[in-house]
Amino acid sequence: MTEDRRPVEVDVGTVHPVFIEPFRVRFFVEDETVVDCEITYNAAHRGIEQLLEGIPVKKAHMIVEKVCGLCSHFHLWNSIRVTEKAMDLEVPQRAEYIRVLVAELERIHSHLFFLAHGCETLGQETYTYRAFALREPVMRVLYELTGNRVHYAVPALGGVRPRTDPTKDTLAKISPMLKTLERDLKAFVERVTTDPLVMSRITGAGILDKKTADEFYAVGPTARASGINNDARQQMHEYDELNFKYIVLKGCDTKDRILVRGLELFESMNIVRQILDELPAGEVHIPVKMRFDTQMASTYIEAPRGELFHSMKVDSQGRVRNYRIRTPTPPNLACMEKAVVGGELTDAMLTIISCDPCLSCSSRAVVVEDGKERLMDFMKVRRC
Amino acid sequence: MLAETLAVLFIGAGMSVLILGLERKIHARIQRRCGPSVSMPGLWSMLKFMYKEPARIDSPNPGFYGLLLVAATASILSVLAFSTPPWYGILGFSSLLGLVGLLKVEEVAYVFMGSLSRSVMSAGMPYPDLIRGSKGAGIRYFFEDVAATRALKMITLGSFPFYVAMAVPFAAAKSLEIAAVTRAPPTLYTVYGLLSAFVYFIGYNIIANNRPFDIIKPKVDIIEGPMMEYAQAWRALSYLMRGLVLFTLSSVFVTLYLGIPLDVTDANATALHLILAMALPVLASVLRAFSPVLTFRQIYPISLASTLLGILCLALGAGGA
Repeated sequence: MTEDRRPVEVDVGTVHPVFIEPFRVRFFVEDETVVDCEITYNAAHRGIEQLLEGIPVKKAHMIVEKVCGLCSHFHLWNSIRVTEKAMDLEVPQRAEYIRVLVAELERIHSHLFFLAHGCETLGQETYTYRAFALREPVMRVLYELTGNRVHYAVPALGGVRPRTDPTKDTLAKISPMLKTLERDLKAFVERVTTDPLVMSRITGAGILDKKTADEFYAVGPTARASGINNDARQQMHEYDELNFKYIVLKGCDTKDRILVRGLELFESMNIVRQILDELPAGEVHIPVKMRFDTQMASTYIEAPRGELFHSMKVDSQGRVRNYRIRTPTPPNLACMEKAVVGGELTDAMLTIISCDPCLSCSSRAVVVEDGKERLMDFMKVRRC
Repeated sequence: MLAETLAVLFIGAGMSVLILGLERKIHARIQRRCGPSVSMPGLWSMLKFMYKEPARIDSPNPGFYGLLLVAATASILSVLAFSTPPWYGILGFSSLLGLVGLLKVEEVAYVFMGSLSRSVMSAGMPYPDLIRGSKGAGIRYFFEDVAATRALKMITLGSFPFYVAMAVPFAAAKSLEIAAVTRAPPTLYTVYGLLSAFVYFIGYNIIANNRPFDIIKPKVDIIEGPMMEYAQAWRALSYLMRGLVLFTLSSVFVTLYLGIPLDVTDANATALHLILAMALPVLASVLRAFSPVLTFRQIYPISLASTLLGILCLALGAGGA
C-alpha cells in the first residue's frame, strides 16, 4: 500500500462569515500550520471596465464611483483626475482642497471600518462595536458635507459639484467631531495595545518581510507596515501644501499592519484640520472645455488600501476608450499568500484581513476553457 | 426520587435557558447595546428552531450524528443529577471518577461530531482547479475535520486544568465521594481553594468551549465546527446543551467548593445554590465579551500554567494545608 503524500487542503469560501466577499482561499496545512496558500477571486465579476468602453465621459464617471462602497470618492476622484489630465483641464484651488477633505474623511471611516473588521476577525466583538461607534460621527459629517453616506459624488470635471461646497455651519461641525474622535480613538488604541490577549494574537503573526513585500510590490498600509515608504500622496500635487507624516513601521506582522492604519487616522485628522484652517475662498467649479481625441493618460492616487491606478483615453467623439482600473488589492494578494505561510490556520484568516483586501472591486473577467485563458468580450459580459 | 430527579432536570433546563439569555444581555450591555430580551436567545430561539422546516444533515451517518448530540446532552444531565443528594451512592457515579467519566463522554462527542459532519460551508468548488498556475489538489479537509482534530487536542491537553481543579475538594476531603466533600469544610475558604477556584474557572471556560477557548468552533475560521450541521430541532437541542454545560459545571462548583448541593427538598438551599451557580456563567460572559479567540499558541501555555497551579493546590489540599 502506498502512502498518499499530498498535502492536506482546507478550502475557505466562496462564502465565509468573516469575510463576506466572493473569494476562495485554499490553505495547505500540516497539522494546523499553513505551508502554502492560494487565493482565488473573480467569483463575482461586474464587468465595469467593459461597461465603460465607448460611453460618454461624464456617464463613465458615474459608473466608476460605484466600483467600491468604502472608497467611492477615491475612484471618482481618480477618474476625474485622469480625465482632467487627458484633457489638460484646470481645477480651482478651493475645489482641490475640498476633494482632499472628503478623501481624508473617507480614509478615516475606511480605516475605522478596517479596525472593526480586524477585531471581528480576532473574535473580539466588544472592540468591533466600539470601532463602529467611533466611525459613525465621521459618516454623519460626510453626510452633512455631501448629502450621502456612501457615494458622495463630490468631484466633477473642473472642480467639485457646487452642492458640496461646504458652508461655514458645516465646516464648524467638523472640528468638534475631530476633537471627540481623537480623544476616543486614543483611548481605544491604548485599550487595544495594552490588551495582553489581543496583543498575543497579533504580535509576530503573519510576517511579511520587507524583501517579500518589495518583490511582490505591496502597496498602501500593507507595504508601510513592512518598512516600505510607499505612499502615492508623495507624488500628488494636491498634498504639496499639507504637512503630515507618512507612517512606516518595521514590525512586518499583523500588529503593525493594524497599527499603521491606527496611526494614519491621526495623520488624516491632522490633514483635515489643516484644510479647515487654510481652505481658500473662491470658485469650486469652473466651466470646462472638453477636449476629444486625447492620448492615453494614467494617474495614481493613494486610496485607503493603497495605490489606485486609473488609465483611459477619450476618442474623437468624446467617448471613453481602454479604461483600466487597478485597485490596491491585486498587488497585495501575492503578499497575503506569502504572509500566511508558517502561521496557524486561525491566524491565517486574520493575516489576510490585516492586508484589508477588497476583492469585489478587483475582479476581472477571465474565462478558462481547455486550459486557455481569454477575456470575455463586452456582449458576453452583458449577457451574464 | 423520581419527582426529585425530574425537578432537578427541570431546574437545569430552566437555568440553561436563562443563562443563554443573560449571557447575551451582558455582552450587549458591555458593548453599549440594548441587546435581546433575556428570554429571546434561550427560550424563544429554541421554540423557533423547533418549528423550522426539517433540514437534511450533510453527514455520512446522519442518524449517529444526531445521536451524538443526544448522548452529550444526556451525559451533562447525568452529571447534574449525580451531583444532587438523591443520586448519591447510585452506581458509584456520584464521585470524582464518575463525574470525569461522564464529562469525557461530552468531550469525546465533539470529536465524532466533527468527523461525521460535512457542511457545504467548506465543500469547495464542484469543478477542479484549471486556472494556469493553480496548485495541485491536496487531501480535502472539511472545517469539521479541523474541528475534530482540535477537539482531540483539547481533550488531551486543554481540559487538564478543569479536572485537576475538580479533584482539589476531593483531595481536601480525602474521599472520592461527593457526599463526603459536601460534609467537609468548604474548600473555597482556604488559600489553595481560592487558587484552585481560579483554575476551575479557566477549565470551566475550556470545557464549555467558551471564548477565549472556543477554538473548536470559532466563527473566524471553521465557523460552527462540529455543530455546523445541527439545524431545526437539533439546533434547539444544541443550544440547550450549551446552556446545560454552563449551568451544570457551575452547579458542580457550588456543590464541591462550597458544600451546598442542589437539594430540591430544601427550598432555601435550592435558592441559595441557584444564586451562587449564576456566578460562573456571569463571569464567563464578561470574560467572553472582552476576549478574542485564542489559538493553541496561547492555549497551551495557559493550560500548562493552570494545570501546574492546580497540581500545587491539589498537593496542598491533600496535605491539609
